[in-house]
Amino acid sequence: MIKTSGKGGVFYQTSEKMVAVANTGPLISALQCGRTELLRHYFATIYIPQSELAEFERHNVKDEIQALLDEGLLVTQDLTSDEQETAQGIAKQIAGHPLTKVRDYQHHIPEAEAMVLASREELDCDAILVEELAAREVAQALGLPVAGFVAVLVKACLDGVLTIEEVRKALKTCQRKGTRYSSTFIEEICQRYGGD
Amino acid sequence: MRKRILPHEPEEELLRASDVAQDLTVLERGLARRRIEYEVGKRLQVAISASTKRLISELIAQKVCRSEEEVIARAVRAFYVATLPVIQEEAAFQTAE
Repeated sequence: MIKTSGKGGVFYQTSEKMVAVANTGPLISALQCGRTELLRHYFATIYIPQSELAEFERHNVKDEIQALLDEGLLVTQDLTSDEQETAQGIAKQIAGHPLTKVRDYQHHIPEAEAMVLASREELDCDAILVEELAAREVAQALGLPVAGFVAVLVKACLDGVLTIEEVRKALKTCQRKGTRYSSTFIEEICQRYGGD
Repeated sequence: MRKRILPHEPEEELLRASDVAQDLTVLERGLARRRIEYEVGKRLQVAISASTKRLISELIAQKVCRSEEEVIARAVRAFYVATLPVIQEEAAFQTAE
């Protein structure tokens, strides 16, 4: 497949991996359970809005994210003023969604910006990684292909990269570190995809 | 001391098991698409013969171009300029007849 790069040059696609845009959540989950290698396994590039960097800093993962930026797996993107305006509208939609508890739209700007990036034709994204229900529903309503880090773990299990026990351990580690995967959710995932 | 990574969106409801099945479909579709594109790309690369590859390398070695991408881009542009005006002139001539 020949693609035109941003600078107008020509190159061949050299990877079978996907391109995605990520919200902070799935990347934090990957860092919490120490499974960033799965992101490398399935994704050639993961775009993040520049504004997420401040959020990563608040979550105490600035250095880890910088390392992923340095190796080129993560790539930041700035939004144009028009795109920022669109993102603000999307953030308001998320804030008004019945499934969210956070009504301040400013809080939802990063995921809204991720959605705007995922809509950019030139990025040619296969998925937007987001795990909060309200944001997922808004992204789906926008016609975006939504996935989360849990599906990356399950895919790795189905592909024989991880065992179901490793999936369980990863999810439990995230849970222990504060990510709201419930125990019922974790067991349901393990039963469904591990057959136990 | 172990570093503490703060949880994301502790107050927001996260995805359900049924959502994961849907997510898997998205990932599998994405991977399948990339696999097909990659295979097509590989076939395109194979189509460049060893002698053409030598010419490309020579152009780079002689500093005519800086990279394979530049050789391909300039060669296609030159071919386009050399052939398309002729084709268009012939088509115009035939239409006039």
